Formats: sequence, C-alpha cells, structure tokens
Amino acid sequence: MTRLQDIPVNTEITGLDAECNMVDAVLHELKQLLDAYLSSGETGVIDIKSMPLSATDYDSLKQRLGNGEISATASLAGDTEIYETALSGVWWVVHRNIDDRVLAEQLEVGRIPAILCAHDDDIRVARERL
Amino acid sequence: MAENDNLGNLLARRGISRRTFLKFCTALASSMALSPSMVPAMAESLAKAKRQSVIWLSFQECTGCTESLTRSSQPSIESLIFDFISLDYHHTLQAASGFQAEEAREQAMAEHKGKYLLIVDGSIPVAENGVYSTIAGMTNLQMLEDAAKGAMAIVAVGTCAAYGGLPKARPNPTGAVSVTDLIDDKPIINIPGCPPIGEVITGVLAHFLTFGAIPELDTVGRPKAFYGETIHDRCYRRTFYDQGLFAETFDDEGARKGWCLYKLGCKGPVTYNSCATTKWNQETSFPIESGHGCIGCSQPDFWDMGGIYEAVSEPLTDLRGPAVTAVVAGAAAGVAVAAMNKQSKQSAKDRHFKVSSETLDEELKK
Amino acid sequence: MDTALLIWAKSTGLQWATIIMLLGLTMRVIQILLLGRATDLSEARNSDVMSAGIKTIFRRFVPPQGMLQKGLLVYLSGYIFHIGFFIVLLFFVPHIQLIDSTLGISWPGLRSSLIDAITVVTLLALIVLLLHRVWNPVLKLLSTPEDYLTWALTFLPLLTGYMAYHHMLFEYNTMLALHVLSVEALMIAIPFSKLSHMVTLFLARWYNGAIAGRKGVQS
Ligand code: SF4
Repeated sequence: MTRLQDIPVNTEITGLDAECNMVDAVLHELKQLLDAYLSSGETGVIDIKSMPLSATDYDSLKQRLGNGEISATASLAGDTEIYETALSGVWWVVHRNIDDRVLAEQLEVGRIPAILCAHDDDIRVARERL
Repeated sequence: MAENDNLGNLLARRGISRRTFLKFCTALASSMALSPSMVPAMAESLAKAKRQSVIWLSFQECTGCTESLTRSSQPSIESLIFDFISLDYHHTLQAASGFQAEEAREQAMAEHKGKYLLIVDGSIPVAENGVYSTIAGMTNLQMLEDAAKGAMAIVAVGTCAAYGGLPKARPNPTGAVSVTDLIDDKPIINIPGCPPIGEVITGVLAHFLTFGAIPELDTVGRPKAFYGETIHDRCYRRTFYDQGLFAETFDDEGARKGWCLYKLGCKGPVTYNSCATTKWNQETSFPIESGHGCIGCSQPDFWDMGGIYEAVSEPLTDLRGPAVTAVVAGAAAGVAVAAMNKQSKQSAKDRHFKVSSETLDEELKK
Repeated sequence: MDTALLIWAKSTGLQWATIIMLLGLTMRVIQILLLGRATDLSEARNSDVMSAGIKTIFRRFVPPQGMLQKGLLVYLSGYIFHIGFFIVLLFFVPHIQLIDSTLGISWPGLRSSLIDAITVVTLLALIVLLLHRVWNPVLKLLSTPEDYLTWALTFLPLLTGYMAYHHMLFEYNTMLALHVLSVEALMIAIPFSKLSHMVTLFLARWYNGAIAGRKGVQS
C-alpha cells in the first residue's frame, strides 16, 4: 500500500509574485530557460548548490516546483536522484557521493536530463561485450 | 598504460560509466563555480585528455601537503584522475629511490619537454647559493630552475612553495623564497594553505587537466574559485561577530555558546580560503567549528602576522617602550626649545636701550 | 593582497607614527607651558582662577547664544563628526582590542552594524562641512591648504575603515593596510597642524577662562 506522502502531489505554480526573492529569481530563470528550449531546443541548467538559498528558500522552491510524473535513482559512485517537477521538462537532480554527501544539485531544463542518457562510448563497449 | 591512451578508455577499462564521469564533472564544476552548462563539453574534453606527465618536487617542506592530498575525500573518481596522470617523480610517493629516482626525473623532463606539469611543495632556500637544502647533491634552487625550463605550467602547492611559508618566517635564516620569486616566465598556480585542503588541490589539478589551462587567479596567484572569499565572510559564527558577542577565553560562557573567536586571535577576517565551505576531513568541520580561531595559513607571510592568539587589530610590535621614550624625548625637546626661546627673548631684551628725542636728533644730524 | 604592507603598517609604521605623534605633542605642550605669561600685577577679583578656567573648558562645548540658529548645519555637522569619530574610534571592538593589548584597559564595544551606521553618518557630516567650506565664499577665502589636508586626513581613516569592512575597491587585507596607514598619516599630522587642537584646546580654553575669571567675569 502506498503511504500518503508517497503519492506525488501536483502543486500549483501561482505566478511569479511570491515573497522570497531568491525563489523568484530561480523561477524567473526557469522561465527563460524554458523559452530558450521551446524556441531553439537548447537545454539549460541552474546550479542550486552554489546559490545562496536559505533553508526556507530551498523548501519553498521545492514546494512550488512540486513533483511530476517521473523519478529515478542512478547508482553512479553514490546515488543520484532525479525527478521531474510538476513542470514538464524541468528536472530536479541531486548528485551524492558514496558517503551520501551532496556533490551537486541542479535544475535541468530539457526533454530528459543528460545524466540519464547513455553515452555512445558506453554503448560501444556494450556492443563489444555481446 | 599506453602513451597516447586517453582518460575515456581508462574509464571504460575500470568499468566506470560515462554517466558516473559526467556526475564527477558536474560536481567539479559546481565546486569551482563554473557554469553548469559547460559540464557536458568539459566531460567530453576530459575524456579525450591524454595522459599528463607530472613531476613533483619537494623542497623545504614537511610533507603535510602530500598528506593532505592523499587524504582528499572524494576518492572514487578523483583518485582515478591521479591514476591517469603519470607521476614521474615524487620522492615521497615513488617506489624508486636514490639514483634511479633522479634518473626517472631527468628522463621525464627530457621526454615530455614543454609538456609536463611541475608541482612544487616547500620553499626554496637561496642563501649561500642554496646549500641549506639539497637532493642527491643538487640544490633545490638548481633543481627548480632546471625543471621549470621544460614545464608547461607550475603548481605551487602549500604556503611554503606559494609564498615561502614557515621557512621564510623572520629572520629567515636559509633565505627561503617562493616559486614565484624565482620563476617568472611560466604560468604558476598557487594553492596555499598549511596544508591546503585536499579537495582544493585535486579540484585545481582536475581543472588544469580538463581545460589544459590555469583557472582564474587572484592578485597573489590563487584560484579565485577556492580563495575568492575570506573565512570570516563565510564563517557560521559571523552573526556573533556582527552582534558584538565574543568569546574572551577558550573556556568561558561565550566559548561554550559558540561566539566569535576574534578576540582569541582568529585571523579569519584577513584570510582567503574555503575552509568554511569545503571544510576538512570528509566535510566534518574546520578549525573554527572545533573552537579554535583561524591561523591564516593561506596568506603570504602568515607566520609574521602576529601571535596566533593575538587579535587581527593588535599591533605587531611593542608600542609602550617607544611611547615612553617619545614622551620623554618630546619633553626634553620642549624644554630645550623653550630655553632657546627664552634666550632669544633675553638677548632681545639685552639689546634694548632707551631712546630719547635728543638721541634721535643727534642721529639725524649725522 | 598585500600582507607585507599590512605587516609593515601594523609594526614599523605604527611604531613610528606613535613616536612622532607623542614626541611632537609633548614637545609642543611643554613649549606652550614654558612660554609663560607676563605677570598680571592687578589684584585678582576672583580668587578661584583655576576653577574659572576649568569651567570654561566645558562651557565652550555649548555654542554661545544665537550662534546655533545662525550656523545650525555647521554646528550640527561639527558635533556629529566629532562625536561619531570618537564613538567609532573607541567602541568598535577591534579598536578596543588594540587599546587593550597596548594599554591593558578595555570596555564593552558596540555591535558592528551600529558602528557601521555611525561611520556613514560621520562621513556625511564631514562631507557637509567640506561642501560648506567650498560653497561659503567667505570661508572659502579664509581656507588654507592645511584646512583641506586636515579634512582629508580625518576623512580617510573613516572611509578606508568603512570600505575595508564592506570589501570595497581592494581585497580586505590591502584595504585594511590602507586603513592603518591612513590612521598613521593622521597621527603624524596631529602635532604639526591645527589638529593639535585636540590637546591645545584645553590649554587655550583654560587660559581664556582663567584670565576672565581673574577679572571676575565669565568666559
Ligand atoms: S570566528 Fe573568526 S572568522 Fe568567524 S566570525 Fe569570528 S573572527 Fe570571523
């Protein structure tokens, strides 16, 4: 049985007039990245870890972006968690090392986060192994 | 490993996926404050990177820098980068010793002329032609000058190599100097610290290997990504500093409450480093978090910046003695000048005589 | 980032500035005291000459009647900058630490944000006074280069301190070194310029008060 908190919730994005400036700034940048993607197909990234977000900012950003349809965990020398936010094409990516320390945390804009794509070199190796 | 092998192949052989590698590059870019959009390109170019020859010279040093490096906390992939470089000479880490070791160094210098990366830790004594420190009968000075000629770039690891460090502390008996004092025709990256943070050393080296270029440096040659802010600016005790709440001793109420350590000699305000954010020992803590002020080890001449327990604003010399002398001398000078004044007044008085109308008449008649 | 400059400023520079300031000041004060005054042969109307002098020292801190209205801005800026300067000098914790380490006395400081605000107000007051000096035609005519120099020497320590605190222009260490050097410049200038009023004002006021007191009037 799924518990209540395991059911994804679609939080409504209520325009860009909220109280936290930092969160506003991120949302604003996301808007621009989405525009860029829609017009030229160019993907974009925002580095969250290096932003001076307070814990409240962080929580409120997380809340405002909400959870979307997809989530994945990649085991890449430590876990990497990826989930799509309630905004299609906006992905939340957290890279952790073996000790579970956050190495990088990003918002990625695009059809699919780069980290999920298999690299041609790896595919070539796979072919050789068959 | 073959001479023209690249990092991508090594990854494949070690069973490390390109995804994992991309993740590593993302983390690296994040720690160096590089734009995240550069990461995929960076990963591609790093994967194509050729094996880099590195010569590591240790001069007047304590091996603390090497210790710090080998304890850098992101072992999985960064250690791989170090597997990938060809450490052709490092007299603490290499297996060879004596004559063979020196031969390896000379061979690497000849073979990779103009292409090898030279890493230096320790200062170079130049007094008495450099006899204070020699390796295999060769002075450090000579060895550095020889090795620098064929280097593509030089990384000065640790405060000794970067600024002279402890050996250069007054009165500097060995005439210790930094790498930049001796070499001016090669790009030099300084990674100071006593020792520097392991992740900072690996981060800067990974950056260099990735881009083949040196990162943006500050006015004393340090990568801005790691030395861009003072400890004080990123210190979690800063709010106490701003509120005027200070620990007065190491065991008072303030110290227990985690108040600011300024009065106990913290050099955080004048020290540029990333201890407060990168931290030490697998991100466990950093000195201030353990209750001791920053000693300012990544600054030039930090050993001469006053006692470790003296506040930044305290003078570095005795002022009382000179002050007393000055007051006494000033008083003496004052008395002397006053006496002179009196004398000239007196002599003016002495030259004074009464003039009557008769005398004036006589004067006029003449 | 000039650590070498900072080290010099905090050692040799500070030492010499202290020596020159104290030597100059004691020399000038002793000289003034030994100058003596012509003996007044008249009979004193008031025997308590000493306390008359001391009273004047303090009375002169209050502007004479009518003057405050006439020169409100100048009086106000004058007070603000003098008081502000001393608060910043004496109640910023790093400064107290410096005094404690040399004289062994200390007192509680003010929070840095307050000091910061006072510095801004003090700087503004000094700017007002400078503008007044150049805009007022009479005052401008009366002003000598020394007036501008002493203004700058007073202004710079505050400005560099403020800039260092806020990481403006240069890296902190360089700015801190400039701050210390600017203070040293001020210290050196004190005995040899009108800045010596910080000591001589008491002598002058006392003397005025004493003469008047002798004559039985208030000054
Ligand atoms: S402990 Fe040191 S670095 Fe931290 S706020 Fe106090 S003076 Fe600054």
